[in-house]
Amino acid sequence: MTAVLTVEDLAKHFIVGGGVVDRVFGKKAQVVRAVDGVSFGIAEGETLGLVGESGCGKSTVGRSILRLLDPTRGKVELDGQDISRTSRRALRPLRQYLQVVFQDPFSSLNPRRTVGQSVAEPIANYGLAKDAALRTQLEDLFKRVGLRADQIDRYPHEFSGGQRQRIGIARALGTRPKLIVLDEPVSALDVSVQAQVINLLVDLQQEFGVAYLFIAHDLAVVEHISARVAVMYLGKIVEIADKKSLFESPRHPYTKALLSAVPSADPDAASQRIVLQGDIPSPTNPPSGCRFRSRCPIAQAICASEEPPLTTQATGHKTACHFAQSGPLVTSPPTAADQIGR
Amino acid sequence: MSAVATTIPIPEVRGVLRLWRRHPNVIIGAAMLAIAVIAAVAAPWLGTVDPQMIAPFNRLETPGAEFWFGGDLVGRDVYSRTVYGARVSLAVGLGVAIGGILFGLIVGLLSGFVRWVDQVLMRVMDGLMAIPSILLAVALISLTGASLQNVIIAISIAEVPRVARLVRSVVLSLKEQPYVEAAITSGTPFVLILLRHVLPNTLAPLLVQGTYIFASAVLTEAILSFIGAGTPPSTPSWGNIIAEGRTVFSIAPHIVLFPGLALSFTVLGVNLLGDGLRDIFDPRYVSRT
Amino acid sequence: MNDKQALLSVDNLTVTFRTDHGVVPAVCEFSYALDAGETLAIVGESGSGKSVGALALMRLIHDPPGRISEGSIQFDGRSLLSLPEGEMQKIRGNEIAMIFQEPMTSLNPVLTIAEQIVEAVQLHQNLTKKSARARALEMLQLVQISEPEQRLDQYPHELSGGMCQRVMIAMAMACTPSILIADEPTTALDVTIQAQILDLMRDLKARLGTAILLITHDLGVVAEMADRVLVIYAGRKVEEAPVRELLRSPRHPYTLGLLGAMPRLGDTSTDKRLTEIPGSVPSLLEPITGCAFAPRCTMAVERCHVEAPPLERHGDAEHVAACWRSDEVGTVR
Repeated sequence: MTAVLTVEDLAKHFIVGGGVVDRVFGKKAQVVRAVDGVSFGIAEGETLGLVGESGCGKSTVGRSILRLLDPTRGKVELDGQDISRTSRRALRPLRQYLQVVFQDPFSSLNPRRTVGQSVAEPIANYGLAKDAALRTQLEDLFKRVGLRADQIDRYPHEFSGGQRQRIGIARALGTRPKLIVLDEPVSALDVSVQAQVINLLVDLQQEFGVAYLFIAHDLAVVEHISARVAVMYLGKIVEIADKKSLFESPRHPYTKALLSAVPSADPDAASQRIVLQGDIPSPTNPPSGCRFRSRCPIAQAICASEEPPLTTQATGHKTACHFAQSGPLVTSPPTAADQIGR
Repeated sequence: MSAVATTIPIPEVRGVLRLWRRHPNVIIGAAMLAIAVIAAVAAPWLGTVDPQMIAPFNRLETPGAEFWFGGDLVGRDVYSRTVYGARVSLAVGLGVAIGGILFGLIVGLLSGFVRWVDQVLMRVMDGLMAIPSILLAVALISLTGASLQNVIIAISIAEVPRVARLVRSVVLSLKEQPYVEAAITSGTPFVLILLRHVLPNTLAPLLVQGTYIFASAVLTEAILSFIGAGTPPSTPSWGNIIAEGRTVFSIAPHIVLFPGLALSFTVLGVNLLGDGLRDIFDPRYVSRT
Repeated sequence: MNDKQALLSVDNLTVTFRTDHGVVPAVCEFSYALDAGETLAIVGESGSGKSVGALALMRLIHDPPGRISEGSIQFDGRSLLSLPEGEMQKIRGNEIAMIFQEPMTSLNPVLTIAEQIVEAVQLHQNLTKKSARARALEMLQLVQISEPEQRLDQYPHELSGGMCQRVMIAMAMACTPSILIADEPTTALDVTIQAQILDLMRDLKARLGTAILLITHDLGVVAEMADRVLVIYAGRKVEEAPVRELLRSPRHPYTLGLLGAMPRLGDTSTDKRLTEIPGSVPSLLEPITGCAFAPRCTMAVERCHVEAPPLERHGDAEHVAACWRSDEVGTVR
């Protein structure tokens, strides 16, 4: 399998403050390290799930790949071509293969344009179809995402949230992209509608062979739809693995805590919850060494001084932790023997 | 069991009647403005005489059957002068609304999209805003000389910062809208994004702002004329009629009263229209069907 | 449902809202009871009326456009709907307290944490400023906020979302209410923070014996928190049962559909499709004949479209469901 997207050491820092007024009062500009060195790849037709809590930088990764933000550092290769530094003009033809679906179905469509016009826009931009052919293509797309052809000329307010999300998906599919960035595509939807959209995304992937970068905070949804999953914490990927490996034998303490925190609808599920203490630290001033150490139940002295690299533990399973191990999280600190045996 | 499970539909009333029920301000305001417009356009056919015709015999004539609004200091018919005065006021209001919005739109769009332009233009706008608009207009007119055209330009310049700030804030919020970002990732050229996705969505707030500018321009023009820095005395405008009448206010209050009423009436009408339009366009009133 | 006197009983409640397009019944003939110290979850999707059903008992429905057009609410021997507003104010926040979904916007940004809790306490209890502040500190300790003394003089923007929700809970519990209404209390929070808050709520309930009326759309939260569950669809109660019973053997196709539509953690079988509930929530503007769920129901027969099924009891447990074919509803996969 060839990689459709390769991300290497991607970073996006925001500068906050530092304006004239701040300078007068002696405030220095602060650097928010929203994304700080993230690497992963997505194969053709594959789904990579990117999960994490709010503020971990998962959406910033998506927006940097889409070049809605200019990355501070690092490389983003779409089909072998670096797009992280390309001028906007040179980027335009490449955007045909890189599309997006946003979270909010209400604001992702221009209220003043018919949904057909919105879906047709990318197709027309690349001159892929015109007039009657465009119309036929629109009708096909609408049917394909579960809408009727006679709904093409209606306005967004005439549709429900789930239907609008289908329209957003149709717009993303029109140019036959190789990768679609799905930024929380179902989190604004009700459970019953969410299932419809997830099933639709799965079907479309099989039909069109498109790869997904599925950004979400809902672990169960990510597990359902992804082939591989990356877990982010404070701008870094802490663990990335095949879905099965990650959910059945997580190795990073954060992943373990995250998985155990999800409430289960099964009344008989044995709930051995690891409740993390405290809040996520601010990305302006992340903890030294391992960023998770301030909340980690097994943190040691080394965690404060040395940042653990993302290393391969098992086939295709990478974890960034000095004490990564599968199995239940043992809160008693590991012995020296554990470290040597690693 | 399901007896109560029904809805009581209110019959759909379309058009003006529906508008009247939900937003009476729009109808009332539009009607008041329409009266002023009709007066301005049809002035010669509304029983008026030449507003500049001096008839010393009718000096300070009190309002009556022949002189509806009475006569002024030199015996000109106040009714005719007031009706013709609507022309100046409305021309200034409309001219300033269009001019201010056009320039404000350009400045606002530029600052909203280009960061370094924003730094420069917005500081200039801040500077303009720091000067009271009347003073600014007086200064500009004293540089160029009083004429209808110069009055419009002077007041427009004073209004530009307000429009520019509005447009800029709308553009900044629209830029973050997912549908604009989706257009960017769809490869839509910048100019098309501007024309398709940004401009149409700024029109509603601009229309509302336009009515307020209209009203304030009418007032500003009256003030300018009142202090003698506005419309030249050869053209009757509500401002200069009031100015001329103020010296004899204690003996002939009608000279001030009628153009004053006309001024209040028009400004109130335009403001009502603006309030109504704002209610209609306010997203909180847009029902999500 | 209960023979013994419940702490709160809502009977036949109908709340209507007047909109531009007609009068919408947000909840319709809605009944439930809450015993002292128990947790009842009201589960529904957006627009199902689940919040309205709870706001009504605080009498927080704005009239107009809303109106409680029918029904009665009995709380602790008093009829809430006929109580004068002054009496109601003594109940609100004192005997029945509420926490909301958005902890950040539910706190006043210009007042410190101490000022807000003190105000809430002094409204109902005759305490001096000093002892009210002491009470505020005590409450912050109760909700296990880190460095409570410091937090007292901080403003909401200096706290995280999870801490704000703890403060909201502290305020709500300050007068030791007998009922806490929690309207989607963890929906806006991250999953690790949600776990903290749910733990806290369980702990407080066990210690203070407060009954909780939990409004949520998340069946996972329900499974962890509730004793009994009530499922609401299009403003109507479709099923009510003890939590185990409901999650194990639902008797209404909608409940079954919700359970099937939810992806589950640990279910790594890739090729399994989620069960879809076709269509979307009906518009309450249209009069509904028959069962409200019938147009989306895969089990619907002719009768379902014509005649609304009554709530019927199943088994010996307090399990009721409104479905003509409830005996044929399958079990969860």
